[in-house]
Amino acid sequence: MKISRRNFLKGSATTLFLAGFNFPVLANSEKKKNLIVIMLRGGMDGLCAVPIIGDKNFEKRRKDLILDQTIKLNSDFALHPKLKNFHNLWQNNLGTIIHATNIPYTKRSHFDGQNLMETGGHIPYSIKTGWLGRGMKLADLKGDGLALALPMPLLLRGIPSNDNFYPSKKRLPRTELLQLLKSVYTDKSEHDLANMMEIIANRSMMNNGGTSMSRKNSSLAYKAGLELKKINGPRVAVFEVDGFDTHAAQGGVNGSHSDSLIEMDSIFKSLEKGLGTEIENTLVVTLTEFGRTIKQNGGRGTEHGYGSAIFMAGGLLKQSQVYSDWPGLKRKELFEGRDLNSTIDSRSVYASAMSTVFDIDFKRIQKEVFWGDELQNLSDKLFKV
Amino acid sequence: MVQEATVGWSMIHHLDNDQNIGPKSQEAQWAREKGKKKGVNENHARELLELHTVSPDCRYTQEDIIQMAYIMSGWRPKWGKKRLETGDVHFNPDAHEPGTKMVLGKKYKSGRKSLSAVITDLVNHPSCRKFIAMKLCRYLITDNPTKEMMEPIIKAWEKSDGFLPEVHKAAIEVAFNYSDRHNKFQNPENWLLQMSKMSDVDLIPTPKLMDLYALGQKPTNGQRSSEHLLRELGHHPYLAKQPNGWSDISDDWMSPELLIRRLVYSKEAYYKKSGKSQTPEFYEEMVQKNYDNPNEILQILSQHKELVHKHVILFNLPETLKS
Repeated sequence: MKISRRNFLKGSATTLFLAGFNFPVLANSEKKKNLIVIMLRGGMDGLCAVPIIGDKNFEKRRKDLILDQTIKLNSDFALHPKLKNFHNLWQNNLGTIIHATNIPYTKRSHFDGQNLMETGGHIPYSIKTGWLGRGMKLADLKGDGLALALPMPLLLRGIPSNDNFYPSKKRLPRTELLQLLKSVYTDKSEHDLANMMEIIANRSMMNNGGTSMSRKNSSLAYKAGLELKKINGPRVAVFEVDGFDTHAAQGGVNGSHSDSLIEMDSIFKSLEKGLGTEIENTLVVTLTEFGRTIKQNGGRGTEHGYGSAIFMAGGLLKQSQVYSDWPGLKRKELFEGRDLNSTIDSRSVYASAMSTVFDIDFKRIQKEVFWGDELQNLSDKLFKV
Repeated sequence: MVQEATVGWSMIHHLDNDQNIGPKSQEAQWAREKGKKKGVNENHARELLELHTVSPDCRYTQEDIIQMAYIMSGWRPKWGKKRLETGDVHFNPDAHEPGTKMVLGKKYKSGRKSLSAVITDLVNHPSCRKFIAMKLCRYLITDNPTKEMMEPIIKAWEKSDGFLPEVHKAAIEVAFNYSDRHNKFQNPENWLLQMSKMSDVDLIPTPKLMDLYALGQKPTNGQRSSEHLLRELGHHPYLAKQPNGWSDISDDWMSPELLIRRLVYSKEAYYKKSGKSQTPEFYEEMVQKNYDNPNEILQILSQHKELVHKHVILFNLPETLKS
C-alpha cells in the first residue's frame, strides 16, 4: 500500500489505522477539512466593517462615514449593518473577527501590498509562490486547490495541478470531442493535458447552465461549496472581491465600500448553502493588503492605511469572538499618526489556520512556509483543536 | 530603449518614482521644517536592476539599490489637464539627492546626467546580456535554457553593440535550430496568433484600423477586439498583476479553465473564417504544410466529420499547444 506522508499523519492520528482496517475505509471515515480564502482587493476598511463602539476619537475623525444601525457584537465592537449573513453565522457560533491586524507591510502601494498578502513575504516581488500554495505543498495537497478566477492567483502557486473555474460566456464543444482529445493526450503521454481534460469533461458545475452562468461571486461560491462538500472534491478554494479602494464617496450604510462588503457577505451565504452540514468542517478566512485611514478625506473617502480586520467563518472556529489586542485610536496610538495600528501579524492567523485545517504542526508551517519568521500560534485561541 | 523606458511617464508614475526624494535634498529639508519625513522610494530602482537590466544574478546588494534610488530621485511625471497617462516627465533638482553615488562599484556624480550614465553601464554589463539572452530563450524555446542556447545571442549582442534587430535575429535562429528538440506550452497570445495565421481567420484588427488610432484618443471597440479576446483567454495585454508582466513559464498557463477558453474560442474562431477557407482541402493542405507528422494528425481529424470540430481538435492537439 502506498501511503503519502499526509495520509500517514492522518492515519497515525487514529487507532483505526493500527487496528488494521484497510485504507479506503479509513479515508471515508476521515473528516475532510476545507480551507477557503477570500481575497479583498483594494484595502478593506476594518473600521467600517467592524466599527468600535463609543470612541470619541473615531467619531470625531469620520463625521460623514459613521454608520447608523450597526449590529452590536459585544461591549466594544459592532458590525456593519449590511453584513447580515455573517451576523447569522456569528449568532450560531460560526463567526470570528480578528481586529487591528495586517501583514507586515507598512507602505501604501496596492501592487506591493497585494503581492505581499499573497506571497506572505517582506520584499515585494521577491517570492514567486503563495503562502497557501506552499502550505498545501507541505500538506501534500496536490490537485486539491480550486480558484474561482481565470488566471491562477499567486496565492495558490507553489503546488501544481490546481483547478480553476470562471464561467466562459460560450458553450464548450461537445463531449465526444473532449473525449477524443483526452485519448490523444493520453496516447501521446501528455499527462498534464490529459488530467486537465479529465477535470473539464467531468466537471458537473461547468456543464449545466451553459452560457448563462453567472460570474458573480455569490453564484461561484454556491458551486464551489457543492464541490468542497464532496469527499473527493477540492479542499482549498480561493475567491477574489475587488473594489475596496474607496478614495472618494466611500459611503456609509449604502455606498461603494458597503457594496464590496455585501459581495463578501454573499460568499459566506452561498458557501453555507452549498456546503450544507460540511460548513462544520470548513474554515473561511479573508485577506487584504491594508486597512484605510481613520480620518475621512476631502472627498468623503479614505486613504490607504495599515491595520485592518480579518473575517473568519465556519465550524472549525472555537467560538464567535472579536479577537484583538486593541491598540487604541488616540493620536499617539495610531500608526504614523493616521492609521489603526496592527498588533497581530495576520500571517500568524493564516499559519494557525493552515495548521488546524491541514493537520500540520504550527512550527513546521512557520519554518517552511514563512521562513521561520516570528509568528504566534493562535490555534488554541481561535480554533477547535 | 532602456533610457527611454526608464523615464517614460507610466514607468515613473507606476513604480512610485514621484515619491522618491533624496533624504538630504532640498525638498526633504523643507518637509523636515514642517515636521514631515520624506525619503527614497526604492521601487523603480529595484525593478530597473532586477527586471530591466542586470537581474539578481549580478549579485547587487541592498546598498546598490538605495544608491540607484538616490540617482533616480527627482525624476517625476507631469500631470496634464486631461490626466492621461501619456504625459511628460521632468527632473526636479530640489528632490535629487546631492553627493556622489556608487552602483556596482562605480561612482556617479550628482545631477540629472547621472541616470543616463548609470543606465549605459548597466546595459553594457555582462549580466544584462546574459539575462536578456536567457529571457529570449525562455520565451521562444524552453523554460530552462542552456548555456549553449544563450551563447550565440550573447555573441550577437557583443558584435552589434546591443543592436536589437541583430540580437533578435540571433534568438530566432537559435529557436529554429532547437525547434525539434524542445516543445514549449504556448501562452494564450502566441496560441491565438498561431491559430489566426494558420487557419486564415480575421481575429486581429488590421494595421489599417489600428493606424486610425492616435495616442491620447479613446480606442474604438474594433481597435480593442484583440484585447477583449485575450482577456477571455486569460492573457489580458494590460492587466498582468505584477510589474514583471505575464509569466514565461509553461506551468503557469496550464489550468483547466484556461484550456476551456482555448476549446471555446477555437470554435468561435472557426465561425469568423471566410467561406473560402472553410473547406476540407484547405485544412488538409494546412496540416501538410505546418506539421512534422501530417498523416497522423489527418488521421485524428478524420474521426470527426464536421469542419468546425476538426478545427477545434487541431488547435488543441499537443502538436499545436506545444511548439
